Amino acid sequence: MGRTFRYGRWVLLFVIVLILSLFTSIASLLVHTQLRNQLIAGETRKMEVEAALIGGILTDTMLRNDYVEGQHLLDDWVSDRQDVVVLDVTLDNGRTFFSFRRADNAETPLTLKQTFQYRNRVLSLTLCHDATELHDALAALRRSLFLLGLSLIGVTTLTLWYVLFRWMVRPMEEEITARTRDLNAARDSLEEKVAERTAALKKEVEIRRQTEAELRKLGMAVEQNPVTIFITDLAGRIEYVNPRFELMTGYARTEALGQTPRLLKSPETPQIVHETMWATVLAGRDWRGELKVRRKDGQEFWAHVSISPIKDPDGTITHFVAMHEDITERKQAEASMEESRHAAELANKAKTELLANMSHELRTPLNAIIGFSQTMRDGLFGPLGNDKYGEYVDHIHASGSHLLDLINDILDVAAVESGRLTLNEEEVDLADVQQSAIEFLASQAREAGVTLANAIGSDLPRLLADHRRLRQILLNVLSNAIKFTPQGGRIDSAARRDDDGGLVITVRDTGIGMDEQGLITAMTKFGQVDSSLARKHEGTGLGLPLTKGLVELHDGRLHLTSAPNEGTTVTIRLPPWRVLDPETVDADI
Amino acid sequence: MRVRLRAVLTAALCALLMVAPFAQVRAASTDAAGPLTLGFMPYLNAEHLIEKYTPLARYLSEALDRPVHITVARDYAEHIHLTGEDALDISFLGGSPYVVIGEQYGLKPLLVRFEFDGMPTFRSVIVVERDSPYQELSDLAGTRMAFGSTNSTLSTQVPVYMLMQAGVRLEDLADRSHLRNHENVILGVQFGDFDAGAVAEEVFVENRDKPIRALAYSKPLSTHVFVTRATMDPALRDKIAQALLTLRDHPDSTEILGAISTTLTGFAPVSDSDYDPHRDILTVVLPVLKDQ
Repeated sequence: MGRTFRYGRWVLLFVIVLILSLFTSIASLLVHTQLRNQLIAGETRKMEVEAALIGGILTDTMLRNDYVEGQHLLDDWVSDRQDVVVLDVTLDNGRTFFSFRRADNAETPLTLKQTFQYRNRVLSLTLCHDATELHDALAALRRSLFLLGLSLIGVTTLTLWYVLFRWMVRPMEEEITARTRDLNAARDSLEEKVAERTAALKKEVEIRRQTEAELRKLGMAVEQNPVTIFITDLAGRIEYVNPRFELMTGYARTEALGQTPRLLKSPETPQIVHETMWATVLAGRDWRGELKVRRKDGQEFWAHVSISPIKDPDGTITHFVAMHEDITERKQAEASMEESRHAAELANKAKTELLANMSHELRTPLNAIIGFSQTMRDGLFGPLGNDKYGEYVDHIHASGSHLLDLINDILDVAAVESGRLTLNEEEVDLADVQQSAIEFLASQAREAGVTLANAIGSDLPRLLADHRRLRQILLNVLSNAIKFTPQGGRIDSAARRDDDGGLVITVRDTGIGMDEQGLITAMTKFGQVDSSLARKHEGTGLGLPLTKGLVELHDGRLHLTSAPNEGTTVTIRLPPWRVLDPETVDADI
Repeated sequence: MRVRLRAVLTAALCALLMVAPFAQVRAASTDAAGPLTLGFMPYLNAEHLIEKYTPLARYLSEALDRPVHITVARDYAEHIHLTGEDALDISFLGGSPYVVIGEQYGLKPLLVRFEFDGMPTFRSVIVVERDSPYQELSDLAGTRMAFGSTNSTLSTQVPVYMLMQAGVRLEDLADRSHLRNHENVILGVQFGDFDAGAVAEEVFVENRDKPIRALAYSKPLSTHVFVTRATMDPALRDKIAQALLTLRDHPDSTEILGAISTTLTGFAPVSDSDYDPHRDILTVVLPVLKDQ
């Protein structure tokens, strides 16, 4: 603002100087013109006197026809007058009587033209005086006027400057500054309000736009919804139906509007259902249920119905919205599933009965076969007499035992899958269980030429587990390792505390290993990877699936890592809550 | 004829004397080594005449070994009077004044006369404006005409004679003025104050650049003449005449003669009989001029 005032001051000063200069110039011009005219008038009067003299001379000589004397007199007169630059005398017939021109100064504003008569003739006289003196005088006058004007402008400007700015402009500027400050503050406030209002309007517009978009989206969602939607007033009169309503019910929109939902009511639906439904929604709650809906053509279909009250911001119910989803296919699927489930339950029941029968019916004769063959092999009642019989008895005993193992595994698998197998949990020492399993399989390992190493120490914490099933888990894992490890191989067992406080048991062999597909096959019931080894080491093919089931019964996890010709590692993780002594340190392998 | 002429000339002289009653008659130089006066009638402007004849006066001063001063009379009458009274040592006269002075005062000793372009004669010229419709002298009846002095041979007497010979009398003219000199006649015609004017051919030639033309020329007449006072020592007179006759041989003759007239080629011997034609013209003209 201050800069603006300073700038304004200079502009005002400039205007003042300009106006003063203008007036001074005009005054100087007027004075100059007046004096110039006076000088010219004085010179003109002088020239008129001279012209009168010349006219008298000429008239006299012309009347005497003494032209030569006239010319001579003019010549003498001109030669004595340095201020005369032009003297022309011409007759009325255009003849030049006398002509004098001072070549170096023929242009002059001091020119006088007069005519004289003698007899019936007319003489025209042109007399020009040298204007040098006039010019010099005017030049001096101009210089004086210029200096005077300059002084006048300077003094007047300084006076005006002092008077204006000391007494007038400065207070005005201060007032203007104050007013401008107030105006700027008001403007800033106004701009701030405008900005706030603009922001609010923008926000409102944005909200409205979003709302409209939402409404449009919702409208489109409702319009394009695959669910039948209609809206009623509090009296139940339909005010809106979506296109799906027309498609599903067969009623056109114009037919439905103004009607009540009774036009969709199936006579099979008990009245109490509708009463409950209305009571619920009138109470302001949602009602959901499955109803049979009657189409315009009389056909009916199942629909999942959801009716909700629409409330305004103060909670007053204004409308109800009803959504009918056709669940006919789902109803049919549920019926089919129910039938399947019932069939499966029947089959499972038959299987359970079968297994129970097998458990009893198969194991009874097998026990007899295994018991009597063992008696005969042991020669409890004397030798068999022939070595061939002995060999046969061994086969009978081995086959019976294998068959019994198979049946037991099948029964266990079935029990696990059916959930009928319950754990007999107790405090178990893992080292004892492991040691017992190794000793049980020691002879088998020696026969296979495989080294069986155990690094599970007695410092491990005790576990809460089923002793028999834990031993079964370890036997199955070690037995599998022996079976699939070639002669000269090695099997290492170890256990340690897991990071989460649980227990990790690992069995690593140097066997044939498996690829990804082999791992999947191994975990499949009755699946074995290498058929030649399977034949070499007969198995039920249920070991790993059964083991995995038993581990999972203990809330643990079994994991296999393997690669062809690089051996297999079986990892069993038991949860922390199975570990009874958490302060026991990890055991290193 | 002689008697009549004498009577006319006497009357004319009387008239001239009447118009110049106050002319001072100064005695001519009697000192053998004193300055000589060379007088002129004002047939041209006095300054112009002095300018023209100053070289000649200087030449004579050198030739005669004595100063020669130029003097111009106020008018023809004064010049005739001074010449007749032997107030001028050397006087320049036209043919008519010579005749008049001879009749009145007795013949003055002749020195030389002008020779223009090798001829000792000249003519009078009647001039009109260059675009003038007049082609013959007879056309001038009813016009305004300018003449020189009434005593001027070539600007009045001869042209009046020419007009009379052409059948135009002075009273036939609408207007007639006798101007102070030949230049005024030329200027009067040029400026349109007059329809025609009469001047010596010498003056006409000098003003050929002006918008005038010659309407008619007179017959050749003996040129102007230098005479001496009758009282001059014959030896001095012969010395002056010899100096003038031999001027053409002087190294500065071109400048001296050219200053007088561009056509002047020298001075020629002269005799009184050379002016008999003037006597005849004056016999006819002077009575007419006297009556006007």
